[in-house]
Amino acid sequence: MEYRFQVNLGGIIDLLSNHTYSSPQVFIRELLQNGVDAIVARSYLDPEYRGEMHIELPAQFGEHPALVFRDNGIGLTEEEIHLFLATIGQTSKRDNDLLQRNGFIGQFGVGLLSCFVVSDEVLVNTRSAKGDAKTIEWCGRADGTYSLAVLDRQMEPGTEVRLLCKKSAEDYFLSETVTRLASHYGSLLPFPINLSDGEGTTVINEARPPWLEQFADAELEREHYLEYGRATFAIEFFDYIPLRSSIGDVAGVAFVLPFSPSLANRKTHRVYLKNMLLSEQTEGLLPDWAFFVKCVVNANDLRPTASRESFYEDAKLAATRIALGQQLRHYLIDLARESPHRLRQLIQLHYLSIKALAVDDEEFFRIFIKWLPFETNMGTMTLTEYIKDHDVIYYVQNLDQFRQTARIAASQSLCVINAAYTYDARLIERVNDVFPEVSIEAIDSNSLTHSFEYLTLDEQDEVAQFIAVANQVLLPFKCAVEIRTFAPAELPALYIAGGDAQFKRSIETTKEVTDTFWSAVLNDVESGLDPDSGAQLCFNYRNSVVYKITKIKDETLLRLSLQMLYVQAILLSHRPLNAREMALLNEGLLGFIEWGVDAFEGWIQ
Amino acid sequence: MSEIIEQEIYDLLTDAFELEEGDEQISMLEAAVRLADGLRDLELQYEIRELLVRACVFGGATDKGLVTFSWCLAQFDQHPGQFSEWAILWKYKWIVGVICNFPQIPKPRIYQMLDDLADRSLRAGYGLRAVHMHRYRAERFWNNREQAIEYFHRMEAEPKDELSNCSVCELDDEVGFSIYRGHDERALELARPLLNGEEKCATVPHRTYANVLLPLLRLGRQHDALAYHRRGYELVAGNKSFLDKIADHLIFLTLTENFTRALEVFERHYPWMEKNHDAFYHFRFSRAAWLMFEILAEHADKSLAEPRLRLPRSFPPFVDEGRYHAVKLAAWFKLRAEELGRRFDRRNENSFFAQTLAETPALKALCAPFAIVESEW
Ligand SMILES: Nc1ncnc2c1ncn2[C@@H]1O[C@H](COP(=O)(O)OP(=O)(O)OP(=O)(O)O)[C@@H](O)[C@H]1O
Ligand SMILES: [Mg+2]
Repeated sequence: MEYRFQVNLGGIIDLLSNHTYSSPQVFIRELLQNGVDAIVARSYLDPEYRGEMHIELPAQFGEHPALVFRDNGIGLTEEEIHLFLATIGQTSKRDNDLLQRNGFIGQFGVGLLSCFVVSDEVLVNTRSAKGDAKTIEWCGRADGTYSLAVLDRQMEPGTEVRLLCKKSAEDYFLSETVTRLASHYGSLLPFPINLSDGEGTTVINEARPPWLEQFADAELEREHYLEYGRATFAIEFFDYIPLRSSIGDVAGVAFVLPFSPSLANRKTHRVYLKNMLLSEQTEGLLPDWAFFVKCVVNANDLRPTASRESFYEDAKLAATRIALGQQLRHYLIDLARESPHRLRQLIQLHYLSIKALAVDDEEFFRIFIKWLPFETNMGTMTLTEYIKDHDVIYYVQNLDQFRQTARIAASQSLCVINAAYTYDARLIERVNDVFPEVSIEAIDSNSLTHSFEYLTLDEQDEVAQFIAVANQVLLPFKCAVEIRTFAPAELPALYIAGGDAQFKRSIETTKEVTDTFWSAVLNDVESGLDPDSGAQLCFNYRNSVVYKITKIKDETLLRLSLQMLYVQAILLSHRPLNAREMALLNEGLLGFIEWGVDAFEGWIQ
Repeated sequence: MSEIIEQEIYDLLTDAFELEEGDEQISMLEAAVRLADGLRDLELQYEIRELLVRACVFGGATDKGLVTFSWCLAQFDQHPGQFSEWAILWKYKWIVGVICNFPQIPKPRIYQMLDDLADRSLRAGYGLRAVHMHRYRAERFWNNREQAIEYFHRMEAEPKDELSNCSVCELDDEVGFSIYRGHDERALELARPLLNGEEKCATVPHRTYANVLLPLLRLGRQHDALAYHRRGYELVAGNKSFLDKIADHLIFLTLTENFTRALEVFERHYPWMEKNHDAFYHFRFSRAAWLMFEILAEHADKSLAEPRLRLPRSFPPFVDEGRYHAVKLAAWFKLRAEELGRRFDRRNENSFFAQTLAETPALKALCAPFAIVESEW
């Protein structure tokens, strides 16, 4: 025996109407969509016919505010009402040859349910344009029941949907709200949408988007596009790029932003599907690197997801993305050829976007690399500028290391690029493709000491005792000792923690607070690190204080001085002291005071 | 003075928020941590470290994330009531989620961590759904199949709560579980809303696309695999915390004989091996590279045997002119994978990793050319 599932209609209606969509206001979108579909369907029957929609309010209906959506579309016969309108999940827009023409937006047979969010009943008067149909009144209710009557009066073919405002939905029946939402969703629709309230009737979608217009000349076109951008987003855009793709049947415009967009402001394009607004947060229509533009586009041949707020991720969308990406790329390349000055301005704002593309696109890289700015310890410059004065490109891959390196490198007249920023290191590593003669070298603070001068053999003998004591004092801090000659002379010592050294340092600091279990875990982690990569303290023999200290014979004073130099070097490297170093500082300070007082008393006596 | 530093911290944080996850963001937050430590302002030190943990875990620096987290947990315990309990437990979950990837952490310590997380969850009034999920992952990591399956089902039996994963992640986990059980078709059915873009969160469907590539090849659905490779690769190509997924894409490209693209992908992501220290990810990537170079070396088209590659100087077998021998690279990466595998097997007290490597050449049975045609869709 076969049975059928029984469905609790009220429950399903509640579920679908209240949970499928992100906000109650989408009922306006759904009603517009159904109107559009009906008009499209009728135009297939009669190509001469001109569609039109009418929204009326506030037509009081008893004491409830009401809202009427009327279209002169295909309408419904009695049979169709039972079959499509009154069957949840059933649609007249699927599995027939009309679908092949790609005309319809509706596809699930649930859109109408969104009306129950704002209205307890949906009243439909309709007359089919096919043959000699009767006018029918249908009334659907949120509990899942409906009634149907054949009317005596004959209306023009089309459909009229009436909603009665339910408690707490009043906002959605206000003239301002309806006008705003209807033009929000429907401003691109290619037939008039009239809106009547107590004040009169207006057409809310008179303006046509610029990509559908013909322009007498380029200047006029430019004006129109930018004006459209201003009207749509209230932004004075830098430039515009018409977009068109036969895959996905896409047309529209990308506006070049006049500022660098923040992360949250990327990918906020206004996207229409079959001229109805789909979303303002659509992802996936443009390649990820293209965040220098803000688009308005309409796609006729992409699939929406069930929530109708983004596109279905399929091969067609992927191909559309590639096609649109190509157009943006061509725009940039043309700009580079034809107006380098404009390009320079654009790069100032959008170098990140351009770097993102250049990193993965060899041809683009070749054209653009010379324009792209890089941060160095001697100011921001392009690679062309850098190469003019230097044969070797030095770059540092990490912000901390750059900070540690920058100052010292500058005093060695070494120009170092800060390649900690996204894409920069990868771009630099490809530089030889375009500038084969330069060599490229990644450095960190450890490699800086390579350019420091060694001491002469005699000098080395003189500092031997100093080095021995220093090694001893700094042993507990896992810090090796060096002495060299380097600029600037005012700097007594340089604390260098490249590679794993900085990480080890933070493990040490953390172990000061963790319990035995987690300290054991941290020891495990540390055991995986390179044992040779400790920190280093490099004294500057050119510094007069260091020079004097190397001559000290009194071991207490020597120890105290070394401790203080160590602590000072850490502080100069902008690292906080850990607990042991703090103790060292206190001890050293007190030691010095004591030593000073003793010396002073000795001197008075 | 301290106001100036606070301003500097604030600027660093503002900049960090503007960045995608990755080293740049991590180094900004590290700088902010150093400044806050200098101020010795506990609240600030804690808050910034919370951000840093997140940045590290999602930016491919789990070792740093672990260290930073342990600092937070210690302060959380030492200052009862001062910091959000949910927030620390949530981060704890991230940490146990990656802890198995550290071969230097012994198994008992991992179990102890899971027990601790379970205790803390219960004491805070949450259920064990999240913990069971991680027990499942740990058991799966050392291929304790029966236990793993049992924990997955126990996880399903627990009610969802604020500690359990978001529904999108959970769906992805279910997909992963089905693949683990060998139910490729069911996995793909489950994955549908993830793959077609209807459901997403921060790391899904990024991982999902990579996870379904092999199942699709096994089912002979190359065309779908290709589409998901396209979309999925774009999603993971910019974040080194997805190095393991890059390995999956590499294998896919190799098995469909899209060698040019495979080599591009390899070339582009090898440098991540030097930036992401996760030993498990290294294992996965090395294994994929091994398979790729071996297939290239054995290919009938002899021109493939000497690929031209642009690799950093630090690549141990680096050669100046960039002309490499596939045979040699295959051997090098095999050795690397074996070394790493041994470390894991020693810790796991079995030979699962060795076995995985031994079975890797069998993937060649799936080899079937299926070319990417740029213009055709
Ligand atoms: N204005 C209208 N004119 C003619 N038929 C309509 C109109 N509105 C609704 N219908 C009929 O009612 C059916 C159900 O409409 P509904 O909006 O619920 O679903 P749909 O448009 O088919 O799909 P979707 O759920 O994607 O919107 C439609 O398929 C159509 O046959
Ligand atoms: Mg509809």
